[in-house]
Amino acid sequence: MKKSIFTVALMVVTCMAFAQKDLIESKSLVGIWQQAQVDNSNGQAKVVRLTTYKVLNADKTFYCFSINNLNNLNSNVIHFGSYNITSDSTFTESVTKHYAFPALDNSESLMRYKLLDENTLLMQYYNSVNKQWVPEIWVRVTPRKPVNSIN
Amino acid sequence: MKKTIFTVALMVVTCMAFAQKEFIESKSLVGIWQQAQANQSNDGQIKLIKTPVYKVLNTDNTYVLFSIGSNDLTTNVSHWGTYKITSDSTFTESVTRHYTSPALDKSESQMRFKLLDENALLMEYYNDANKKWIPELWIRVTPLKPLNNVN
Repeated sequence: MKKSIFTVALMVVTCMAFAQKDLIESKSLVGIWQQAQVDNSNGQAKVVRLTTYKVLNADKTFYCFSINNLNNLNSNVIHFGSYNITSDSTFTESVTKHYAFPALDNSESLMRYKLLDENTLLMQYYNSVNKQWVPEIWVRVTPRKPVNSIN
Repeated sequence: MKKTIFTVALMVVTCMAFAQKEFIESKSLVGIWQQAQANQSNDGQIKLIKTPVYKVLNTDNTYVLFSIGSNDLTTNVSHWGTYKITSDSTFTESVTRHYTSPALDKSESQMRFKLLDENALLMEYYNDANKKWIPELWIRVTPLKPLNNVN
């Protein structure tokens, strides 16, 4: 009994160490994502980054935070919860607490997703009021390139 | 045996749900932190200026630091690893990967900390070269206040 609990505990700790590397150097849905939008104003499509971040942890929890004012950089958590991948193109998002819209506490959203490349994610959530899939683009927060001037 | 593993797995899942709330609504060192600096204006007033640098101290004792670049909101992870609280005012930070300064991979830093209030953290790291403690100020990324204009 003691041995099996120890074994499971060891497995959990090992998973955590791997999970952190998975989060930062992920090539899957897991990772730190920054919302973006396509700007087509001058006739040439360009991906423009926004100031909303979604962290999809390896342990299936997630949270979303954003900078709500670029002048003072005030940042707040918008909502958090857990997610469950249901196929290679769908997942469900269960909101535990939605600070901006408390009516969405304990709600569940159906999501579609497609990795356009390793670091670009097209996500769609179903808006049940409009009966429409609403697309969102997310760009991965990747490791920074080494700075040469630092020892 | 199967029952034991199931029970432990259930405990782990339950712990994760609590950990997530503890993380987002934390009043301790755990949490999402945004770096700030204290600027003194001409009239002597001290004003906190938030910077686009974020440090996430997870409940599983992993951490990650990421920041927004100056031009186009491109955001990158600078380093990540684990931390260990060694007293009510000290912790060690073990860098697993330091992308900007790879020489710091697998390095360890001694840190001092003091919660000035629930959402303001004074942190100091020891700079070996200068033999000095370097202070940093961090402000917690707190839950957003509810928006009233949406159903």
